[in-house]
Amino acid sequence: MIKPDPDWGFLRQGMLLPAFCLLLGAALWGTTTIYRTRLDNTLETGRQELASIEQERNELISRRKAREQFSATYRELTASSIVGPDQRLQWVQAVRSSAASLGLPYLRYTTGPQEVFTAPYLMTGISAPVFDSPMDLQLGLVHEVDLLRLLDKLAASPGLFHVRSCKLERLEHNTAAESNQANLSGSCQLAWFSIPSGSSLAAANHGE
Amino acid sequence: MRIQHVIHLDIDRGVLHTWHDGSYKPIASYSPRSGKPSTLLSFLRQNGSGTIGIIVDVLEEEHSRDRIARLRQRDQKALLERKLARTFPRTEFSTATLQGRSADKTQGKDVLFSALTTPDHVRTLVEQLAAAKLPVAWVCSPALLSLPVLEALQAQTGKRAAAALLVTRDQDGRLRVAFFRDRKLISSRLLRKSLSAPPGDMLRLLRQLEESVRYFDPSFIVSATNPVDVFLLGEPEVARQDATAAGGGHEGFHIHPVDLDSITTALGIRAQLRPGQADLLFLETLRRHAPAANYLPAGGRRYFQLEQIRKYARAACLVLGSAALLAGTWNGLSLMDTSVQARELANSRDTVAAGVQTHSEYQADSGMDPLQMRQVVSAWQALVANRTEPRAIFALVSRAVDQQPRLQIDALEWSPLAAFKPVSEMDPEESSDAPAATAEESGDDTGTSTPAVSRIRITVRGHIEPFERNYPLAFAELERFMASLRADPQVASVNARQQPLDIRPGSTLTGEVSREDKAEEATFAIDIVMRTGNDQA
Repeated sequence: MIKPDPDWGFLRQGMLLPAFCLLLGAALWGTTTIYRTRLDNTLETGRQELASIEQERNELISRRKAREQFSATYRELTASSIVGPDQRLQWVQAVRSSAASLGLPYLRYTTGPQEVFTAPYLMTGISAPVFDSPMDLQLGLVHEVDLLRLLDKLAASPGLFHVRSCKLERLEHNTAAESNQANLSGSCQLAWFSIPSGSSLAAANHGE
Repeated sequence: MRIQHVIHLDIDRGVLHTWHDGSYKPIASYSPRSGKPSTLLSFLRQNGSGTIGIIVDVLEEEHSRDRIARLRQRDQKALLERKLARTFPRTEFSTATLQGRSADKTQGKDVLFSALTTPDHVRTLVEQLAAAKLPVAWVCSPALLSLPVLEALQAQTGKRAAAALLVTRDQDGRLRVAFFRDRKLISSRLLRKSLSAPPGDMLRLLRQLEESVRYFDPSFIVSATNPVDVFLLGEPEVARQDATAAGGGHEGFHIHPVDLDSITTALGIRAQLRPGQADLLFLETLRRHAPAANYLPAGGRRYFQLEQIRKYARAACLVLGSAALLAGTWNGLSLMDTSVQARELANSRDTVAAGVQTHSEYQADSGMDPLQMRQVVSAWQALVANRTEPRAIFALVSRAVDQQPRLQIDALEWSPLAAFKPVSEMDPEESSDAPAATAEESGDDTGTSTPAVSRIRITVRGHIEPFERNYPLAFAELERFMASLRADPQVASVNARQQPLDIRPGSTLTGEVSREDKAEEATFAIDIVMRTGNDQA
């Protein structure tokens, strides 16, 4: 095989300008590409940072609006013992005081252990977790309105409760009603609610 | 390929022609017998670029025809090289031209072997050009350039005999005769000036043509049935008239005198050629048509090939360099745009960061997390909105009882039903009863797509007093009581669980009528489903 014998000197003649043009173009293109890539990366990083900061700002604005909107109500709820730990001492005392002031023939109460309250209208992430303490009431009533009065008095005392169920029954319906003895027997199930606050709320949220 | 410079090398001199203004112009000359082509070389060195072609118009050109079998390309090439070396062993300026399939339908291809048998002058010239690093592309003879001329003549005159002779005369009066059969070059020869028939001497010319045909192809007999078209190209006007007057002079030779102007026009040549300048016609033809073969050996084409490489490399460098410059410029413009964007982004980031700082300071001073506050308040609002109001239950029952004073209530009981999702398009008849049943049976409290609603089931037990043992009246009273309850928008459904008498068709009903005054009662029990909170009628 014949080895090629290129005349490099001949090949170089007239190639100076084109080669310089090529080198210049390549250098310009390479340099600008490198800088452009770096700047694009920097810009992309900046965009991500801006998006992150904007998200943080939006969250803070949301919190600020929430504070302005809900802080007064929250303070009221805290003051009325709805937010905070179980207040069964106050609830029992309210029951006892109300029954005494209304002159109910008798009232028996039983409280159960506190438990997590679930209901479809309490949506996770929107509503805080709620605990309820059940309370059974056995009542002797002169008139059915006594039940409403009793519930009104309990509603006026600290705490929030629901009347889950109630059963009123006339004791002797063939005799005339008497004003100083029980004409009606009642059995009601109440649920006293408490909403944890602060760190206990955060713990409850994480525990969900 | 555009040939910029052509060196016309004949017996006495070599003349350099260069392309200028649409034709080749003579620039310099030298005598091959007495000197070196230094003037040509100095001009070519000074005027640099451009491919060079050499037309060798000498006596020592020989042609030999042969036939080879049809082979693969590689074998064919090797065979041609062997045959060429055997035919012309003493010269490197030789070439083989494949002329296609044989005309007599035998298998094989016709080959024309051509050579410059005494190439001393052209060898010297090529070596000098190579030493000066000048690119030589072609070394050919007028014979190898004759075919395009012949085709133009045949097209112009409409004469297409199987055999043709192209007769030209150079500036020194030498005749060149090229013989063609079936548009294939058979052979060619240049006659010495002393032997060439002078212009107008038709008898001598015809004799020389006869001798030439016998020399070219002894088997070819010129006759009236086997004529030869003779194209007498570029003869002076007087000689053309003599030839026309002679009418051919030979029954086999059909003489066609043609002036140079007409053929140059047909070939697209702009140069004005005078009679006797047919050799210059071939120079101009070289610019427009590639010769049939190239006498130049591979070593002599070295600088032409290097020149081609350099040309394409230069073009590639310029194209790539320009593209890179454009891309770099585009990148630069993009960089400017990106820089502006980066500055705006930095400003925006600073602004937003300042806002975040302000809000963070406010947040830090405020204690409880507001989002947790919102959750607490939402829970409280939901509990308040969904609590059962005993007063509303009492009011509902009281309104209905007031309209039926004989109904005595013995017991009142309520309890919540499991939450369910309302069906808006339910049949009104069914909708009054179905929710209670659905809720009771399914116990579905997991729906999230639409808000779940809770309802209360109220059970009213009582009796009718005074009864007076009138069951239809008691039933009517009870029906009116239920109707008044159903009319209340808070009531979703009313069903009689127990009636004064069990009058269902499938049940067994017993009773007694006697003289004893037994106390009888018309008792009943009604289930009411009451809407609460977000449950709308």
